Amino acid sequence: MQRCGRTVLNTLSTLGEVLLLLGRSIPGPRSLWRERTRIVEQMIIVGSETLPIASLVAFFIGMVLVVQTADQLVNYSQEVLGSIVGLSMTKELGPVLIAFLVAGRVGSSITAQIGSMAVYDELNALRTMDIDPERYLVTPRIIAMALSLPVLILYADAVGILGGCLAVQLDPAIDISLALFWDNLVSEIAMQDIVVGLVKGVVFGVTIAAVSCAFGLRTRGGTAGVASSTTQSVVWSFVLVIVFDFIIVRMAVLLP
Amino acid sequence: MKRTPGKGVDVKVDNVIHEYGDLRVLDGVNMDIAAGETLCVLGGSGTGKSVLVRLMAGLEVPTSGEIQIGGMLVPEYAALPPDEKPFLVSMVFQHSALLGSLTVEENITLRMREHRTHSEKDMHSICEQVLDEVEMGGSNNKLPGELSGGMKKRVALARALAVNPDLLFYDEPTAELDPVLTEQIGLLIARVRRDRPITQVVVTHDMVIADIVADRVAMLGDGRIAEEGSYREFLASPDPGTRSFLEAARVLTSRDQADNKDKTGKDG
Repeated sequence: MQRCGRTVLNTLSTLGEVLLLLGRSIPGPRSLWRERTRIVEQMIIVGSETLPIASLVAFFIGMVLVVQTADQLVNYSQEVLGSIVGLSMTKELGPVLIAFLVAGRVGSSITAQIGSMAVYDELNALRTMDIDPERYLVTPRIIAMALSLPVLILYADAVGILGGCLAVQLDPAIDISLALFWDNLVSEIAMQDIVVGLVKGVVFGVTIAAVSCAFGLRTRGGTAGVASSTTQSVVWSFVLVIVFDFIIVRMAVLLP
Repeated sequence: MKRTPGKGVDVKVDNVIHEYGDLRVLDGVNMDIAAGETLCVLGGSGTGKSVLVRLMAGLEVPTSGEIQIGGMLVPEYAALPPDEKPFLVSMVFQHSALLGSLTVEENITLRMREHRTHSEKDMHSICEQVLDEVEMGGSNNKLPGELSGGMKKRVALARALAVNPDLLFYDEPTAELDPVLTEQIGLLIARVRRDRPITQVVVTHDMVIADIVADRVAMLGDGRIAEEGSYREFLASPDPGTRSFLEAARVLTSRDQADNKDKTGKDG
């Protein structure tokens, strides 16, 4: 019972820490302009670390989705294949897939980098230079992630759908033509579906960045501490991404 | 651009107690450091030397007691906006604490760049000047990863000096260095003492450094200042704790020197 209570308290304390860090790190327009160079640098890092693996994974997810769904629809009509693949990619798979990839590759690297800086007194060095580590390190990463993830999600949607198109074209088990697949996909995807995916991207990006930075900043205890913080930040990012995914989906369902 | 040299500020530590949970690391430390003085804080591992210097630099808050620098309480000083600070404090850290993604010049000019206090031309000129001062001229574009441990310490000192501090803290500036590099860093700190009228607080367990740089030494033991005085007075101290530290330090120093002679012999 005591352990359970301690776990709940630790969870709430970590959530509070992340929220407070987020609150302190959201910049005004002036400091946003001032941080523009570092924001662009971070966006390049997010893109370069994620794009190759995102391309590969999204492409194969698109193909798998087509093959699996076609198999399920074999006794019905495969004409709805386009809409199922398109909506799955834009509303759910694209955003969550990219969020997990970014949390695993970029988020973990952010925690490890800031954690090492904490362990080796680089954060304290910034403080003695009257430079706020949160403004210097956290703000650019949060903004960069919030801007990059929607773009990466759009890209993953496109690549996934491309993979689906290829599967439709090549898989002999699929009875419909590529044109029919495409027409069904385009006619069923509304702008609102894409926007919901992009909103998820912004929320996931901010979440992953805030969690990764918070765990980096709280790192203590040498390299073992860095390793522990990195693992925890990835786990927390995954869990929060899924929780926020549910909340956004639930809210989107209520939209007219 | 002509830089105004730092003028030195006094430091007053008043009955400082610091605890981590149940562990009391500092137990009523009192200390006065005059403006322009170089004080070496000596003591064995785990005696709270680094904690004391971190408290003075405002990186941690004491459990109780007060620390004043230049007549201001440390939290008051820390809360001032950078452009309203009446004097500047710098620190050289044990692991150098250079930012790995920035070049030597970017590290040295970071404070000026972030606070936009100098033009690019002035920052470059200051960087050249302080790099020459620490005998690291020409290394502007190197990354910290390309430097040896001794070079990193020199660049860290250059970064601290670049802003013309009035108060400069060193936390184990010669940790992980061999005796030759230790002496070189000691000579650089001594040169800073000679050329700049600033206050320096050097936390170390290294008697060589204390001998080279200190106007005065203070021995930390059992969470308190056990002994204060000149280096010579310190060597002659009858205090059992100090004697035991000196004995251990002498053994280590002579062993280091012997090792170094062996290495030189082999290399030669």
